[in-house]
This record gives sequence, C-alpha cells and structure tokens, in this order.
Amino acid sequence: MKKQAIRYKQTRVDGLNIFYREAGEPGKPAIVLLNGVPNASSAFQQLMNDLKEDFFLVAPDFPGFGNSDLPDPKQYDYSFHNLSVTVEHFIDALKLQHPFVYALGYGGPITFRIALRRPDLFAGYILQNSNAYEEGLGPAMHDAAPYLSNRNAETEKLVKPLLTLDGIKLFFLNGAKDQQAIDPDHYHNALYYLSRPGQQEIQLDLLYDYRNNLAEYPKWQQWLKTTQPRMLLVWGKNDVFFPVSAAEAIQRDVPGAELHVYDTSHLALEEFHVAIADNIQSFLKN
Amino acid sequence: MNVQTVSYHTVEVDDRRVFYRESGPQDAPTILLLHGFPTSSHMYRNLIPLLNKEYRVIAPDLIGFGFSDAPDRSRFTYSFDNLTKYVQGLIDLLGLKRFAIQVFDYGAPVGYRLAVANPEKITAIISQNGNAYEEGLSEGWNPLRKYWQEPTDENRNNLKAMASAEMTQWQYFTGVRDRSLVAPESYLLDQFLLDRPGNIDLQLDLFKDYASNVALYPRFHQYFRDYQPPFLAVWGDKDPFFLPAGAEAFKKDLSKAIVKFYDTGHFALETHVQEIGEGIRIFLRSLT
Repeated sequence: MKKQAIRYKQTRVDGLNIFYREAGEPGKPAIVLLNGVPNASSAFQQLMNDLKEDFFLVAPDFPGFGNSDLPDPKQYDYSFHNLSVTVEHFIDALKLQHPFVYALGYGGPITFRIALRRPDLFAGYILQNSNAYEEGLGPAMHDAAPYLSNRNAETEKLVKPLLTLDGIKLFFLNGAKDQQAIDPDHYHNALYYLSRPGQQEIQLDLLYDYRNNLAEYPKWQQWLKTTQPRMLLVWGKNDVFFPVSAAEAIQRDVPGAELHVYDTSHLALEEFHVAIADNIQSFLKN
Repeated sequence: MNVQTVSYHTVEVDDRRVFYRESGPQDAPTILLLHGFPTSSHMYRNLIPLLNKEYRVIAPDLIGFGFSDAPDRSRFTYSFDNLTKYVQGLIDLLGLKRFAIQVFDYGAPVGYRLAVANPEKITAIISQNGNAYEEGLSEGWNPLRKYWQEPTDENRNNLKAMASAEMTQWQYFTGVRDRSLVAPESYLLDQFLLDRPGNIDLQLDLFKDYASNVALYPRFHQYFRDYQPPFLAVWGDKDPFFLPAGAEAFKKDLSKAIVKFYDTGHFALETHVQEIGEGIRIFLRSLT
C-alpha cells in the first residue's frame, strides 16, 4: 500500500535543487507533468492520486517555482528556453525512458522546446490549457500584451495583479463551473509561493519572456503539422488565458488529436481531475 | 476510481463565517472530522477520499484557523468552550442528528465537549492522537504548563516560538521515518495562515486555555464510562506531544476501546493515511 503514496523528493539538476512529486511504480509507463504559474507541481496532486496505480508519475517544480531553488535572476536567466533546458536535464537525470508528457500552461512552451530539440524523447503529448497559436490567446493574455511588447513601469502595472490573490483566482475560479468544488487551500498555497521575497522579479522576468514563445509559435505549428504527434487535448474551455480556441487550433493542424472540453477554468484539474484521469487512461491504453 | 467530489462551503454561525469541506452521499452515516493546531480541515484532504464512498464526511475549520473567520482577540474569546460553540452551531445548522466524530489534537477537547453535550448524537469516536488523559501529555507541554501556572507576559511571549516556521516543520517531521511522504504544502500552508497579522495572539490565548481541557479530563472520562461509545484510537506512536500511554489510557474507561499504533509522529495522516483510513473503515463497518 505504501508504494502507492505520493512522495515529495528533490534532485540536483544543473547545480539547482529541483523538487518533484513522484507517484506509482517506476516500471509502469511514465508521465512527466509540467506546470508553472500559479501553482507549479501541486496542480497535479489529485490527478497523480487518480493515476498512481497504473503509471509512474513525476511532476517537477521549475526553478523559481514551488519548492525548487529560487536562484537570483542575476545568476539564473528566467526564460522559457532556460527552464526547458533544466527540465530536459531533469528528465535525463531521472532516467525516464520515453515518458509521456502532460503540459499545462507554462508547461506547453517548455514541452514544445524540448520536443523540437529531442523529437524522440516523448512517447506522446497530453496538452491542457496551453498554447501555440495567435487565436489561442485569451483576454487575460491580450491584457498582458503591452507588457510583452514593451516592459516598463507602466506596463508592469498591467500584469502585477496576476501575482495577488485576485490574480491567482483568475486561474482557479474564473470560468469554473462550481466554485464550491475548488479547495481554497489550493489557491492560498499558490499565494504563499508567489508572495515570497524575490518572486515578483522572477515571475515578471518569465512572463516578459513569454514574448519569445509568441515568436516561436510558427515553429511549433510547423512541427505539429509535419510530425502529427500522438496527442490528447483536455481543456477548461472558459480559461481566460488559453481558451478552447487554443485547443481547436491545434486540432486543426493535428486532426488525429483527441479533444475533451470541460466547462471550467484554466486549472481544469481542480474540478475535473477524475474525468481527465479517465481520458488519459483511455488515450494511453490505445 | 473515486467519483465522489469534495465541496467547500462557508456558512454563518452567530455572525462568524465557518468554513467546512464536505463529501459523500447525503443519506450516508456521517463523520465529523475535527482538526488540530496549527492546521485546518486541510489535514483531512487525503483521508476524505478514502471515506466518502460509504460515509458523509464533514470537516470544519475551527474559528481562528484555515478559512473560518479569525477575528481579533479583542473581539472574540479564544477558548475551547467558545470554539466548540461554533462547531455545535454548524451541527445544528446542518441538522446532524447522529454522527461519528474523528478528533485530532485541538479537535479532541472540542469533540469530547460535543460528545458530553450531545451523547445521544454520537455513534462512535475515532481519536487520532486526540488526547484525554494526563498520562498522554509529554514533557513537550512543560512550557505551556508554566504559562498556565504563572500567566506572565514573559511566559506568554516564550510560547511564540511554538508557532514559528521551524516549530511547525518540527511538528510534522518528528517521529517520521520517511520524510519524503510529507507534502510540503502541509506545513507551509499552516505557517502561511499562522503568519497572518494577529493570528499569533489568538494562538497564545488558546495555549493558555488548553488548561481548561486538562481540567475537563475527568468529565470526559465520566462520559466515556457512562455512555461507552464505540471507540477507536489510531495513534502515531512517536508523537512528541501525545504519548502512546494516552492512547492506552482510553481502555481504563472504555472497555471495548480499540487502540492501534502507527510508526509515525503527530501528523500521522501525512504518512499513513492509507493504513489509518483502512483501520477506520473496518472499525466503522463493525458497528453496523
């Protein structure tokens, strides 16, 4: 019974302590779960419980997030490229053979970057509320656009509220089917992490770097079209960051991708982890 | 796969907001889960999914904790009697007629007060490191005893360390063989809420009033002897606050008490939720 418990571990990658959640037995098919703002690997806690009998699940916190090291931005460049290198090295350090990847939010740009460098690394892709298309940008991303094109004191004011409790609630509650189904501990836990000293600068640096994701979108689209990856899309359709139009755009270019849409927010797992776990079970058994 | 969902509610009890989490069929036998210091109903997050297919589970946050109101101590008397009043208010509001209680740490003196006041409603008691006997109190209580005996500012201020981040982590890790089983969000979230402005002052008030619990132990024992509620102790045997002798002591007053020990510390559910959950299910099934 014990071996099915979730474990909270750390490993050393690129000179940094990387925290990760681990569940299931190493011999089972592996799934790497990637998420950034606002709640890092804790976003996957319930899903890992749902899937731990059948899979080996590993969810790291990126540098600057959750319980991983928070190097000073003078020492560590908080860019999606850099995070993707650290995550790639983390996957190698854990010797995960041909894992599936579950990418949510910031996990998407990191996954696309790794996939383009290492096309054979991932056995398949589960994408949730992440994006690679202009039409997949929701109102909250449009609100942040002036910051992405020109970072200054004025435009910072547009995005700083994302790091407050109200901003965090945009991810959890905005568009949720039933707000009473969402544990307030989850968004207060996110608030705790984002309230720590140095977090403002780290998160603002990384958010500003999202402009480099926008610049990479055409490359990722090309990769999707040419490789037709094995892909499952699970989506909270009312997400104010990456609404269901983001999933539909992917499906247009990867017609074989299976799409399941849920009437909820960005963090669809909060309300629908059981149904999404079922989607994953069926997808990976085929 | 578990299809019961958990829902999160806030209701008004006597003009204070009381938060609770609930899961399970409305018509199933009910279990009321009462949390301890310095946590909240969050401590039951992993137990609830193990019980909610067969039971209706309700886990409130005590006033001053979690997402219930935490009024300033100038506007609220932080005593265990008063904390109990709000849980009683929730029981009345929800119209709970018969239910089992599961108690831990601070939840124990609250739960035992409820049992004394509502003996006809209590179907069973599960105590997870929820003490009711002098012999269960370790030397870890000495700084509090000192404050009870000499309620000076100095003795009060000395207790602030009991709510520090270091102490909170110590509470979670002491007696734990495999630290990788303890989720960081447990002690970090507790600390985040403890660090809210003014929260330390109400915690110090409750440290002081804990003496009222020890004073009530004979009353609790009388209730146990008179009503003989079905009783299960599930006890982390390396708890630095509540010793195994405190678990064994229930047998003095409860002839059919079942006492099970687990190789872990105070927050036994962080490391042994599967085993404890199974023990609870077996116990509750045996009652019907």
